[in-house]
Amino acid sequence: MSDNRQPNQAELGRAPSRDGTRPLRLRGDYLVAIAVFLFAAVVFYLTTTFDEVPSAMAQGVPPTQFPRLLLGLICVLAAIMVFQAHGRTPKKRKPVPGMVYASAALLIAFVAAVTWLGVIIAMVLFCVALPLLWGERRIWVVLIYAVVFPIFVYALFSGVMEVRFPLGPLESLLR
Amino acid sequence: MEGFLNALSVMSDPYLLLIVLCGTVGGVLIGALPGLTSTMATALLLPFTVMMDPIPAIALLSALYCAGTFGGSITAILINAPGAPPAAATAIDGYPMAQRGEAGRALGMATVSSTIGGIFSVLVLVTAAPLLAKLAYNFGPPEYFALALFGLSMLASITKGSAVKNLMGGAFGVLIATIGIDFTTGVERFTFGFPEMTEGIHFIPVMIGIFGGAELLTQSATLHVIYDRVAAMAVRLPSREDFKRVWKTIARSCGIGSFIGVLPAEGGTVAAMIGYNEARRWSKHKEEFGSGSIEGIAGPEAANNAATGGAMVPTLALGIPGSGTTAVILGALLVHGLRPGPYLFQEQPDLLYGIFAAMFVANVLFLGIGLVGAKIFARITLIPRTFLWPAVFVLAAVGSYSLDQALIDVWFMLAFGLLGFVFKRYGFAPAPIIMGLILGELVENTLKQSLLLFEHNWLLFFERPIVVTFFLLTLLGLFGPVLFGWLGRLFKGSAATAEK
Repeated sequence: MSDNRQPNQAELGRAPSRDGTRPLRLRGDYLVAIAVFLFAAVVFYLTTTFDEVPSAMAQGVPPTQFPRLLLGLICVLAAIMVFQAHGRTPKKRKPVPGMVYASAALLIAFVAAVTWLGVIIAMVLFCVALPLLWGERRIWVVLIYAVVFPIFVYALFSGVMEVRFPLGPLESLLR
Repeated sequence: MEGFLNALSVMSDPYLLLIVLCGTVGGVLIGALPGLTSTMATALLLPFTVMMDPIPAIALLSALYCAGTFGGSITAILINAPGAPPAAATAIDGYPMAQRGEAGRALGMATVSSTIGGIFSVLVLVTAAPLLAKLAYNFGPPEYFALALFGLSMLASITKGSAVKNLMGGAFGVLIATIGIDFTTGVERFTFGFPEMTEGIHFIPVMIGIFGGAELLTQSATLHVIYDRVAAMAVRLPSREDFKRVWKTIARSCGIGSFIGVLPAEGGTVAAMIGYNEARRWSKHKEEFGSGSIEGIAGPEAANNAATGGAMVPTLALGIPGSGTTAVILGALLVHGLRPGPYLFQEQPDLLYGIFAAMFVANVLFLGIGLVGAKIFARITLIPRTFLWPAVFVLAAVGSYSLDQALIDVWFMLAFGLLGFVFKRYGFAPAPIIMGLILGELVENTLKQSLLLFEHNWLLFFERPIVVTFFLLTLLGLFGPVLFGWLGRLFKGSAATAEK
């Protein structure tokens, strides 16, 4: 009698593929562990750059101790994660779509624009750019939205909540 | 009872009533929008509440929390896309019911069971929080350290992400909390010479970024997804037959939800999943589950709303958040200069009554809103994402800036938004990081105070019974799932052997 049973996920993860090589296992978690160890090394180095504790305060717990304790814990957990990942079927992750990178770039540009151009211009530009990037084609609606919404937000925060925004060229004119 | 009556008398203030109404309507709207959760909404709203008095501010956030948990069920039933994670289990049976033309019946059951669960949880909150706070009167730094550790250990069992990754996220959050001047020695840590960082990273921009910014990027990856929308019909109150069938399920889920809610870090999502599973386990019509069972809606909806009041118990009585959203509410209390714990009950009874009342009224209000307005609220999902998310990010940026009027907070919001997306992609949930960040200061300070108290003798921790109890609970929180899984397999194995 032929065995038609399908191998389960765990068996798939452990079994060599047809060409005799084992499949790459949970590359994501291995990558995460490497990133965590590197991060921990950098942060540990940073703890060595802390100022000396004034002698009057020296009886307490050193300021380096708690962060180092946490780094140790994070590294132990990362090692457990690698141990758990070992021998399991790699999880297929879809590649990050280009739209995510473009959106992220726009978010960075927006915050930079708030810094350099002021909040009103930054908000207007962002409220035009992101809808267009995401495929909105009703130009007039976008333009009305990009004018009305930022003015509403500016009026709310500046007028009602008395928030003082950094002065961009437009805010300087308004004052 | 006296506390509850005091709570209701607070609501005689029309301004407070209006605030709670706004919070409830806003909560249902936000909860109904896929991607916008009540956690994110409370984080986004927090900067607005800074200028308000503490009572209306916290009442607004509490009402939003209750209503947002319910709002998620509307889209779960109508478009099979839960507006918020706690409604994920509702979609399993809600959407099939809507597809066969019973959307009104499903929405009615979701509304009524959510209200019952919510009101039950407020009663639990009114009763349990003062008792727990009384217990905590005798807590010193070692007890608070052990308690905070127990709270963090519970991250291992929250649903999103693996246990190890949740704990790593929590530890990362605590590490972020160490940025700034060390309070015992005055030494600057990880400030890189920026004077704005000497007081540490403000947790509100981090919360806004990690929930809002990261979700925007997630949404950008799913722009092609078009939801199959079932038309909402008039919402129907559950019939007598329906009630007869589900009352036990609702009662069970009220208990489950409140218990899960009280556990630190657990929240509505865990409660809803357990509520759903238990509804199926005890049902006489198991075969209907997955294809439109009315009990499959009542179970998770009563449980997730019962978890709201439960989650506020440790938040208010001990300062340990019971869920992601209560972590934000805890943050709001801190922003208003209030430290949750036993002394809050002694010094700010009006605030607590305000919170109790706001949650009670919000639950009653969304019963009306749900029954009358669910059809209208369902239309919120017609707002194009191309306009919704730019607005969310603009509010996130301006809100982050407005706290201290510092641009560095906007950069932090952005950085944690980008980081949050990467974390999410690799299986790290945002809530543990926030939980770690909020509890970080408490963990470090109480540890240092304890060590000074014990003259650096760690063993003295074990001479305090409450500390030992919390340490044991911590171990149970960390290793419980593994231990119980192993015991379960062992018993199954021995039962199978005995049968042979």
